[in-house]
This record gives sequence, C-alpha cells and structure tokens, in this order.
Amino acid sequence: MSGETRSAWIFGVLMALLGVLGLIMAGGARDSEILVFGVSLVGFSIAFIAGLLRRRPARVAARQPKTHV
Amino acid sequence: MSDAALAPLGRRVPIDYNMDVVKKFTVATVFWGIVGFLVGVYLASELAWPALNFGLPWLNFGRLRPVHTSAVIFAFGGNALLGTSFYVVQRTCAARLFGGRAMADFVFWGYNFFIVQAALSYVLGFSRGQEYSEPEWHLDLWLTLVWVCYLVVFVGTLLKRREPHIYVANWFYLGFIVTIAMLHIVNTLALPVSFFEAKGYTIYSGTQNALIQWWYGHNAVGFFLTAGFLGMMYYFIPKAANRPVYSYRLSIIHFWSLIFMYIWAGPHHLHWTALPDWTQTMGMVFSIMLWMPSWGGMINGIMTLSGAWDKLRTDPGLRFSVTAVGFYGMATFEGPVMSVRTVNALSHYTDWGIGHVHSGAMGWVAFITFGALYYLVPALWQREGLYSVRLAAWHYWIATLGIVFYISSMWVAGIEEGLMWRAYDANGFLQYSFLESVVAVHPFMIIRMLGGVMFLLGALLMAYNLFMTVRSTSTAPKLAAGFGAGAIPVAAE
Repeated sequence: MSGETRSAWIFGVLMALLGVLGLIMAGGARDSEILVFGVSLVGFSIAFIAGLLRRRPARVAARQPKTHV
Repeated sequence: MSDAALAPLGRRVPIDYNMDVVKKFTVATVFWGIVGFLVGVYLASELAWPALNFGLPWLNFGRLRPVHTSAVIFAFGGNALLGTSFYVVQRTCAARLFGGRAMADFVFWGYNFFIVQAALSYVLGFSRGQEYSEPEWHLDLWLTLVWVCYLVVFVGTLLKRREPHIYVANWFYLGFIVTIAMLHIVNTLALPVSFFEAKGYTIYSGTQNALIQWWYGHNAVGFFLTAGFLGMMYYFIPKAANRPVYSYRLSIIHFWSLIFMYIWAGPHHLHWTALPDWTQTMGMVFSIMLWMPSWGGMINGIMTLSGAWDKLRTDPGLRFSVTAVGFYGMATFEGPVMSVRTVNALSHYTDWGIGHVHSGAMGWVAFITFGALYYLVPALWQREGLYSVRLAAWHYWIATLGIVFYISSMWVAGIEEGLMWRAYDANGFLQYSFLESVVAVHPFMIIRMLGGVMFLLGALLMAYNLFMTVRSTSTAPKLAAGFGAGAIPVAAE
C-alpha cells in the first residue's frame, strides 16, 4: 500500500467516525449551535470522503505518466 | 491535480511537490481577505451610523465584530500562513509534503470548516466572550485536531528533507505552529455544560482567567501575526529581490530573542487592573525589550534589498513586502510605547489601540501577504507574470492611502478620547460625559470608514488582477518555464 493510499484510508476512516459523531451531536442537540455543527460535520465528512473516492490514488496513478523526465 | 517538478537542476532528482493544496490556500486567502475587509467596512459604518444594524441581532456590532476579527486574522491571515508555509517548507527542504495528499487536504478543508462554523456561531450569538478566542469548546476541539495534523505535516516534511540545512523561514513557521498549539489548548480549557450544548465554562477564574487570556491574546499577535509572517518575509523578500538575506546570523538572533521575549509581554494588556503590579511591570519591561529583536528583524528585511532597490520601481509585489516591513517597524515601536503604564493610562480602552492594531494588521500582515500573493500566483499557476503591473501599483497606492486615513484618524480619536475621559473641572468632577466623547470622535469614525473602503477597493483590484493572471491568455507561458527558481515542470495532471 503506497503512502498516498494509506493516508487516504486513515483520513477516510477518521472522517467516517467524525461523521457519526456529528450525527450523534445533531440527534441530541439541545441548542441551535450544536445542531448546526453536528449537521455540518456530517455534510463535511460525506463531502471529504466523496473527494477521496473521486481522486483515489490508484485511479490517479493509472492516469499519470509512468516516468518523469 | 498535482504539479510535478524537478529539484534544482544539478540534482536530477524528481520531486513531486504538492502545490495543489498551496493553490487552494491561495484562493482561500484572497476570498477571506475580501470577506473580512467587507465586514470591517460594514462595522466601521455601524460605528459612524449605529442605525445601520437595523435592530437585527445578527447585525449587531457585538456579534459581527468577532466575525471581522476572525475573518481577517484566522481566515485571511491563517490561510496565507498555512499556504505559504506548505510552499516554503517544500521548496526549501526539496521534499513533498509529509502525510500524503489526504492529510494536506484535511488541513485545508478542516481549517476552513472551522472558520465557517466559528462565523456562524458568532452570528447565532454563541461566544466564549474572550477576545480572539471566541469559539466554544466543540469548535476548539475541532481546531486542535486540524492544528495537530498541520504540525505533523510540517514537521514530517522537515524530517524527510533532502537539504542538510533548515532555512530560517521554517524556524519562524515552526515557532508559530508549536506556540499557537500551546496557547490555544491552554487558553481554551473548559468544562462543557453538556455534550449536546455549546456552552462551556473556562477552568480559570477571575484574574487568573484574565492573565491566561492575555497571555494567549498577546501571543496570538506575537506568534500568529508576527512570527508566522516573519517566516513569509524571510522567504519571499529574498526571492522577489533575488538577493540573499542581509544577515543570516541576525535572522537566527532575531528568531530566538523574539520567541523568548514575546511570551512574557501579555500582562501589558492588563495595566491598572487587579493583576499584581509586579506582573504588570514584567509585561511592560519585556514589551520594551522587544524593540531590539523587532527592529533587528525589520532592518534585516529592509537591508536584504541592498543592491536591488531599483526593483521597487518595477515590482509592486516587492513594494508591498518592503512597505510591510516598514509598518512592522512602526507598529513594533508603537506597541512598547503603549505598554508603558503611564502612556497606557491614556491610550487604554480608546481608539488609539484600534489604530495601533490596524497599522500592524493592514500595514504589516496584509501587505506582506499581498506581496507574497503577487509572487505566488504567477509561480503556482506557471504564468509569465502578473496580468497588470499597473493595476497592482494602483492597489498599492489606494491601500497605502487607506491605511494612512485609518490609522491617523484613530490616533487622533484615541488621544482625544483619552484626554476627555481624564479631564476634571476645578471641583473634581469629570468635565465631559462619555456621550460627549462619542460625539467628538464622530468625524474620525467616518474618515476611518473611508480608509477601510479604500483598503477594500485595493483588495478587489488585486483579486481581479490575480484572477486574470490565472485566466488570461496574455500571461500564458511562451516557453516551458518552471515555477520558482531552479525548477522546471515536467508533468501536470
């Protein structure tokens, strides 16, 4: 597993966990600030993971030239 | 998309720099700069004509003020610092950012997520009520996570460097990152009411809380707005002038003396309060001692142009950078003067403080950032040069004039307020009511607002100029040329 792939996995899993945390916070929120933060955290996590999937290292590597001059 | 580049030609070792994240930070810097200046102009208008808050709670000065300060300091300044630090550490270490693309992207998006959330929370009326440290506990925890990742990326890149030496700009950036981490964690230690409520209570009480807050607040200025931007100065002025740093030895002395002395100066924000006298005196003495490293650094920055002064005529970016160093010298002269207890008795709580802060924020922080942006954008997007040098020159003069309007009006207003508040009549009664002092400074509030408008206009010109630099065919490279000295692009996704 390359460094880029490992990094993407670590942050993908971290963001998934943070997204769940956001859901829990939004679900139990007792004020508008925690509700806004929780919902935003879920949205942020989904968007970040979607970005990782769109640019997953294996796909990018396949499109890049094999060598540098 | 990533930009791949060769290291200096002699090495023949390919280095795939992560310039994509630097581009993102650059765009965010311009965006947040305009947002922050716009909110500042609106607030300046509210202070001149209070009816402009329209009676709406979310347009209230108390809620919008932290939006302005956070937008210009942490959003504009922060994105500039994070972006340039990632650029400088890669270029001077000849190494790609540590931690992979995902980690660097997390730092960028996570930091900007924090800024948006913080601004939303202020507008909704949630705040810790401590200056420059307004976000509640959940946002503080989020920022800590992002900042630790930032530290890991920066230190990891330093550790895997291919250059034997760590260039001085990186020392300043590292000092900024480590100290801000310490300040942020210690100052924001709080007990939340509940996991599901935003309100938290600081673990410190009374005077201790005030001291910790201003230890944080002053060093936010010292390490966020000074040390970090000095890192920028030590990289971009020599690059733009194509000259080595005037005295590398002085730069090292500058670094160690600055970081040692700054950390003790915070108590000067609490003169004439319940804080013990000896603590106030210590803050004052260390503030005065700060003249030496500050002016040593300023002289080092300006003298770097020895033999290249002619470039000020042709390079508006360099003009911004050098003027910034001049403002740095002015602001770091004025600060210690204001920290003297007898001077502080006149200046504290008046608009003199606002003038002082803005001579540093607009003159030093914003100008050194503008200089770096005018250098970085053509370099990052591999363009021949700026779209319009004349437009950049217009930006320079409009912004400089705006600063002069701003700070001179605030100086006069501040001294007038201070003198009116301390005036007694023959019977020992206060000669003026507070309202009379408000009426007296009204013209200066309008002049300040006009200064802010000019500064905003200049920033809009810059945004257009930089956008056209990236998009216009007139700046497209005619020959294969690399970004930054000694590097040529070999592939771009």
